Amino acid sequence: MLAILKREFLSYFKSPVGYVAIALFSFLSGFIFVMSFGNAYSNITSEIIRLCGFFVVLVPIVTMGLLADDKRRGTDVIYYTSPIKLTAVVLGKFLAAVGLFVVMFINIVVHMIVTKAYGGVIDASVFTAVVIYFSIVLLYVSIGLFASSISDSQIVAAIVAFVFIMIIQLLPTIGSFVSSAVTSLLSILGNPSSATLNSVSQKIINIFVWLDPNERIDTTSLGIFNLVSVFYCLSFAFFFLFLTYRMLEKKRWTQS
Amino acid sequence: MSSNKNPKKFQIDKRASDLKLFSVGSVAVLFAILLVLNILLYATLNEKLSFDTSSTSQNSISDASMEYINSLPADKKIRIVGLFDKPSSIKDTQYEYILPMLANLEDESKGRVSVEYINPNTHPSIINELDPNGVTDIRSGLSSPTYAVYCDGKVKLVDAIMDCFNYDSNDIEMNQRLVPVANKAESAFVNSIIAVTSESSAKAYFLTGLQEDTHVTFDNILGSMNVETAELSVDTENFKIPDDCDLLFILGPDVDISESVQEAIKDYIHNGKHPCNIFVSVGIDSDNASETYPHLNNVLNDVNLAFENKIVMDDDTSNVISLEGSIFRGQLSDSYKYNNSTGSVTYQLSRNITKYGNEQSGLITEPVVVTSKSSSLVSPDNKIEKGEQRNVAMVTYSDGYDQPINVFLFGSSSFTSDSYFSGRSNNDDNNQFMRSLLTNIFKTSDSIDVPVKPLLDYSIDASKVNQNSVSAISIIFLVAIPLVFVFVAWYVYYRRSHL
Repeated sequence: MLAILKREFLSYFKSPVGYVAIALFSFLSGFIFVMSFGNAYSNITSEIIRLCGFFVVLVPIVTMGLLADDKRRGTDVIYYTSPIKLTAVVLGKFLAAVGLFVVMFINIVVHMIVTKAYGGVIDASVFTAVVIYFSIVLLYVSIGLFASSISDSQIVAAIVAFVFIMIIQLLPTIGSFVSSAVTSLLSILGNPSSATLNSVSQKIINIFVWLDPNERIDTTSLGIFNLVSVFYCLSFAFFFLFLTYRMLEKKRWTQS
Repeated sequence: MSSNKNPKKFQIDKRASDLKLFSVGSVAVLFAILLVLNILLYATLNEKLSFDTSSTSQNSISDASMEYINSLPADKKIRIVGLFDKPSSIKDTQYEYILPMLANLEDESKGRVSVEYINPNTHPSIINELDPNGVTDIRSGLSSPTYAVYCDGKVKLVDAIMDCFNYDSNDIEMNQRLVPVANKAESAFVNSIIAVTSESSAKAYFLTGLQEDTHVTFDNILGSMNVETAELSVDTENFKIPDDCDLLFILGPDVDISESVQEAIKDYIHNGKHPCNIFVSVGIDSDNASETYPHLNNVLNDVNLAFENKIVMDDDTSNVISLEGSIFRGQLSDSYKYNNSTGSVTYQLSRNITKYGNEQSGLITEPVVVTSKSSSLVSPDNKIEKGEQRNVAMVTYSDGYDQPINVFLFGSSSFTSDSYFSGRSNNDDNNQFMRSLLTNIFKTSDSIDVPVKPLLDYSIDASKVNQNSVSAISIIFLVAIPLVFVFVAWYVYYRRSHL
C-alpha cells in the first residue's frame, strides 16, 4: 500500500494537477483570509469551515485521475494480476489524495501564524475545525475515488464527483423542494390540517438537513464540536471506499 | 438437456450471479448498518458528544444555572417558545449566542425545559395558550424577536435583542445604534425560568374597608410577576400590617383611615419588613371631594409627602386631552421617563401632590409625574391658583440606608383604578408605567447571578494592521503564492510535453 501511496502522491507533483489544485486552494483560502484581515479581524475556524464549501470544485480535480487514468491506459490490469490486495490499492490512492489536501492545509497553517503574529486568537475551536476539515476531506475524497472507479474518462469521473458533492451540498434545498411536493400531494389527496402539513414538511426538511454533512459542520464555526458529525463523515467515507473496492473487485471477476 | 451439453458455461454463470448478488448485497447491508448506526448515535449521544469549544463558553450554561435547573422537580415542564420562525442561519446574528445555549439548556434540563418556535402570525392561538388572561400582553412584545418562558400558567418574556446583550452606552447616546459588548442571554433565560418556577416569595396587601377602588388589574399584574396578593381590612381588631408585607396598596379610599390604622402604617414604615413599599392613590371624585384625609396625610407627612384637596389643571394646551373631564397629559420626571415608551402619562382629576417639608436625612422626595410649567390649582370653592409646575405623583425613597422604603403617592386614580385600565390595552402609557414601577420593585427577588459572558472576539491588533501590511498580505496570499504554483504547474506541463 505504501508503494501505491508514494507513487500516487508523487504523481500529483509530476503533473500539473497537484500544483493547479494547490494554487486554487491557496487563492481561495487567501481570499477569505485577506477579506477579514483587511478589517482587522481573523477567524481561522470560520475560514476553514467556509473552505469546505469549495471542495465541490477541488475534490474532483484531485480525484478524477486516481483510477480512471489507470483504466484509460490499461495499467489497472496490474492490480488484478499482481499479488497486491485491492484494499491496498484503494487505500493507497485514497490516502495519496488526502495527502494532497494535507499539503494544501499548509496554507491555513501559514494563516494561523500570521494571525497569531498580529495578535489574533487561535482557540480550541480552530483545532476542532481542523478535525472537521479532514473528516470532510475523507468523505469527499472517498466519493471522488468512487467516481473515478466507475469510468475510464477523467472528465466523466470529475463530473460524477462534482454532481455527487453538489447534490450533498444542496440537500437542504432539495429537502425544501421535496417537502413542498409532498405537502402539495397531501393537500390534493386529502384535507389535512395546516398543523399536520407543517409538521410533515418540517420532518422532511429535517431528514435532508440531517443527511447534509455541511449543515452538521456549520456549528463548528460557532464553537460547537460534535463527534457524531465526525463519525457520520468517517462512516460514509468508509462506505464509499467499500463501494470503490467492490467496483474493482467486480472488474477483477468479470475479467477472469 | 442443454445444461448437460455445456456444463462448464452453466457453472460460470451461476458463480457470476452469486458474486453479483454478494457484491450488491454487501453494499446494501453495509449502507443499512452505517445508516442505523448513525441514527442511533445521533438519537442517543448527539448532545453528550457535543463540546463547547468557544473561548467564552457561550454555547453552554454555567454551573449555577445547571444547579438551579436540576433542583427543580423532574416533572416540571418549562416551555421556552420563540415567538417567531426558527432562524435558518444563525451565524453572525444574535441567535448564535442564543440558540446553541438554549439547546444546551434543554439538554441539561433532562426533559424539564423544551425549546420551540411558534410564530403567532401563523399560529395565533399560541398567544392565548401562553397568556389566556392577557396579563403579560405578549402581543405588545412582538415588535422585536421575543421568547416566552412559560410554566404552570406563569409567563415571562425575554427580548432576544434588548434582554440578551449589554450594549455600548456611548454608541447608543452618540450614534443611536446598538453595539453589543457582552452576552447575558443565559442570565436572561435562567432568571426568567426562576421567575416562573419559584414559589411566590413576595406578597402585596390591598387595604380594604375604606370604600376604595377595586384591584383586579393589579392582581393580574402582580400574579404574572409571581407576587402573591391579599386583602387587609382596616376593620380588623388590633389592626397591624402583616410581617410578610412587601407592598401595601391604598387605592382611592373614599374615607380616611382611622388613627389606629395610621399608627399601624407608620409602625410598618419604621419597624416593618424592609424594603417597605407603599402605593397610595388619592384620586378625587364626587364621593370623596369633601374628604380631607387628616390621618392618611399624617402617614404621608411622616415621609415628607402631602396631598391637597385641589384639582390640578394644566394650562399648556398641548397637554390638555379634555378640559371638561379634567384629563391631561403629564410628563414623567427624568428618573422615570424610561418607564414607558412615550415618557408621558394621562391623568384625570388629580389632586396636587407636594413635599410636606419634613426633610429627613436618608430620605429623598422627588416628583414622578409633573405638569407643564404653567398649571393651575382649582380649590373646592373654585378658587384658581395659576402659574407653576405641579406634581401629579411623587415618591419618597431612602437610598441605601438601613431601612429602605419606597412610598409612591399618586394624585389621580388614572394610575391605579380598574375603571381606568379595564378599557385600555397593556400598551397604554399608564399601564406600561405602573407595570414598570412594579417590575423594578420586585426585580431583585429570586434571581441567580449568572456571569455575563464576553462576546467572541477575533479581532487582530488594529495598531499593526495598516495599509502597507494589508497590501503585503494581499499580494502574498492572493497573487504570489497562487502564481508560484501556477507557474510550476505550467513548467511541469511544459517539461512533460517536451520529453
